[in-house]
Amino acid sequence: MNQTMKDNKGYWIGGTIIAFLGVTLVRLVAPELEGGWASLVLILGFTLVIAGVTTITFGTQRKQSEAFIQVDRREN
Amino acid sequence: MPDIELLQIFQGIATMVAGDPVISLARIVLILLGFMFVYLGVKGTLEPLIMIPMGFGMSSVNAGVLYLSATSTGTLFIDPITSDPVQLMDALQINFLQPLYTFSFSNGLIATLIFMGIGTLSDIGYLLISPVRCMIVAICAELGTVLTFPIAVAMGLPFNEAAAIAMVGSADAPMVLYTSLLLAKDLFVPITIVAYLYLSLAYAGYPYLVRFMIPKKLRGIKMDPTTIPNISKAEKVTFAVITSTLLSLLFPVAAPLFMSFFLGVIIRESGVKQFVDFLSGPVLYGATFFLGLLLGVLFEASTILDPKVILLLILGITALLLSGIGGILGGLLVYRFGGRNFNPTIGISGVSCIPTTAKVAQKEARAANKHAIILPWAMGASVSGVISSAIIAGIYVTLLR
Repeated sequence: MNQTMKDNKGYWIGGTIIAFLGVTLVRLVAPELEGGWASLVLILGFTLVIAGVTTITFGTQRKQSEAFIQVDRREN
Repeated sequence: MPDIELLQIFQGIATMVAGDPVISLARIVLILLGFMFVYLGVKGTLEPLIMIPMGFGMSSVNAGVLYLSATSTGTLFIDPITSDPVQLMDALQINFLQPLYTFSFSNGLIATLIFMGIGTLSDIGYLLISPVRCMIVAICAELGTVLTFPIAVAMGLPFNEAAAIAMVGSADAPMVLYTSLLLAKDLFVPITIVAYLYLSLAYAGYPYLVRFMIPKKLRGIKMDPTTIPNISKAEKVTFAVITSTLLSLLFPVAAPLFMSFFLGVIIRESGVKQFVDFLSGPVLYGATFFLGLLLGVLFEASTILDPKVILLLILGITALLLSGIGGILGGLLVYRFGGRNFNPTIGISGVSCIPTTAKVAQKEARAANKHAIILPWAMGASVSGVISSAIIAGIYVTLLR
């Protein structure tokens, strides 16, 4: 784990937990329910997965002061 | 000296003369069509990597029909229908392409090998530059994959075949092959050929769609490359492992696709040069070559006489057109609501024909403004497109298999 990941570990761990919670709802809880509740839990589960993955991606974002790719401005 | 019948020596011609005239005519058409594919492939009008082996296979198999017994005809290339174990063992020892078909094609191995190769060509870091915008564009670019399904059902196709042809909208031919093998095994040859044929044409057609839908001023929007974060290998690998696991848990039936793609991504990031070279070279191009050859060899006369083929041709182009339109609308949406600093041309690269559509986007942006560099964002949208297409494939297969 590099320094940026350590700094943003909240996003990585939190996002992963949220996403796997979503998977649990979709794969384990929803099949046990019937009718409207099943659909509701299914939608909630998929939403949590998307929310989890999105949260993880926030962990890859950088502050302006951190490393960005170097571009030779003269070419622009 | 015994009587020698000339036609018995040249059995390819004899089977053509003696057989059903419609089949004979279809064979001649396919031989000529194969020649045309080879010519257009060599010329570069169509994708040479797939069209040359496919066209040549198509011509050869339709020319090489012979008498297998007094009453039946066939070829020494392949027998795709055989499923009886004894007959299959015979076929494996007689037909020279049978082992490749039986052990790599019908089980989806060849598609997953191509996916590993695509994974090694995909830098997932581009997706992480702007993940939300990339995913919005990619989801919009699935318009053809989603809308073609009800259109196909309305045109009389059963759900499984409708879903298989709708996947052409993903512009990802190995994905189309994988899905059609699972959902519509009887139609996987024409569907995959339609996919590859149209994908070759999309490279030529999408620029016109971009110019038609996006004003030149917007096509030339410059994006600031200094805002691209330097994503570390550890982050890319961790993201790939988590995403692959999540998607496999959600859609186990598409897990071989997810696993193959993300394995390629991880191998790329691991920096093990031998594996990267192996997957992105011999595996990717070897699988592509044999996929093209096998598809061509499977394209026999009876295939084009199936009345569904015309329907597939119409639905295939509809799917690709809708996806292109959807992607561009997604790009315009992100431009409109994302601070107006996003070049909407990136939208077309949400159609996941990686890296072709990303190159189309960059080329069009550069034509409008020679300083516009959008390739990293376009590649991000393309990688998102691969993932969103695999998710749609997973949903279709899970619901309709």
